[in-house]
Amino acid sequence: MNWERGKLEEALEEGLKLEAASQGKQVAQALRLIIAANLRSGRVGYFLDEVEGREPAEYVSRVTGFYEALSLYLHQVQVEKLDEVWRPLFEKLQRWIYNFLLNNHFAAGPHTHQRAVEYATEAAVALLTAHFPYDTSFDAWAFILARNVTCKLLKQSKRNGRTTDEAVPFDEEMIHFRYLRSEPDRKRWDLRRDLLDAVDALSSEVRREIILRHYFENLSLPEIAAELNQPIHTVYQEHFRSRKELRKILGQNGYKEI
Amino acid sequence: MLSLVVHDALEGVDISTHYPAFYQQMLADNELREAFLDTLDLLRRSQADTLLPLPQPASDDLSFLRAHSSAPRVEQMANGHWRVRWQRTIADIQAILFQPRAALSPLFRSAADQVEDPWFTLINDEVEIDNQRIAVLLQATQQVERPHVLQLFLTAGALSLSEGEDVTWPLRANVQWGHYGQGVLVDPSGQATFSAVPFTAIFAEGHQSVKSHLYLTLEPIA
Repeated sequence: MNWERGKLEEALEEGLKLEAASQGKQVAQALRLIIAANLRSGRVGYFLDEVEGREPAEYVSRVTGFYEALSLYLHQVQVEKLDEVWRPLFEKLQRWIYNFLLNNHFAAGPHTHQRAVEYATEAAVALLTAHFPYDTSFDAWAFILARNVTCKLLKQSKRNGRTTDEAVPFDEEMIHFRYLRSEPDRKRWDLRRDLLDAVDALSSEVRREIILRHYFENLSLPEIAAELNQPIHTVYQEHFRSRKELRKILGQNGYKEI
Repeated sequence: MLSLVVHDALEGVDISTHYPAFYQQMLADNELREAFLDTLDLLRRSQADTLLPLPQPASDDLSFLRAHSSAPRVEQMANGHWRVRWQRTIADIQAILFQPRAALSPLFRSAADQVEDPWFTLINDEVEIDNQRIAVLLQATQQVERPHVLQLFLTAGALSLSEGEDVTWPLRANVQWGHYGQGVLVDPSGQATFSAVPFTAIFAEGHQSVKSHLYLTLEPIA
């Protein structure tokens, strides 16, 4: 559902009152500040995602859980700036960025490592003052921050003529299946037949399996990953690629809507 | 925003059903989709410790920890009144707004910025005073419809360090930044919105360099 701002604030406040009763007023006050900033930046809306039945109190509870687990660590990272906490974190940033650069066609070796150190330092400086939203893990947040800094530095570096190695693969727009639900039955069955033919024509068995299990057997992508014994990342990637390929096959068969 | 979804994906949540609107957005946005996929891949490998090792020992130069931003100045008056003042120097702000983000322009909201919060954090700090912990978060954002101003938002709160003791409230915040200056009351939910800061008040000609330090003062209303 779409939450009206005032109602959403009230619902969040109700959630905070519940947390105050169990966690104490001090924790609730700290949570209030975090959630106010997250509401402003749109993260609460992303969590609710217009899903029927998802309540703002769930978001408050999520933030509470991460706050309990991570507030001490964040204090050591951003306020106390402890060397013993930063040393492994700085190494992790360097390794993340080094591997990200390798994924983007940089050559393995000391030159790329040196670049990774430079970018990790910039990411670390950004991390010192950035607002941690306490609705996700530290690593997910820090990785994306480091990735964003790296992408921007790569663009800057490219503009300055330092590298031409920036690689951002582009796909076409993806197929949208929404209309499947709204067509009359006969057309739906025709479409189903054509769709199954198109699935048969997919270029790999893994792609066929993912589409059939996800759309015809209603398995979730994580469930498919477990059944096929594939990393979750691979299943998401193949899911995106399958849809792109299906769009192409169906387009060749005269489906203009896709 | 992406970090929230990536975390859940790593935990085994099916994001296509748990975050349907976000998933649809990802299907239509190449850059967002690539960010999701390579973040998921690298974090999964990081958790499993299967990332490629660095070819040389990691740098342990932590000098950036010491170089960053000055501590706030805390004043405590004889009558129990207090005032905290934070400063961000021209160099601090220049680093936050222009390097490496290089984005403060009418094109600020690029696709890359949709990946995570399009907000600049100017101050994110905590200070202990009078048996309370004062937390402040001063953020700036540039609105598409008003590309030549910065909008400042403050989130501030006082947390008592002793259970049962009341905190000092309400608080008043004041920002001085070049030709711009405004004082506002922090509302009961800890938020304060300042009037828009025109670029001409804080940037040199061309809007690519900051010309003034920024000062934020926070104090209880007597």
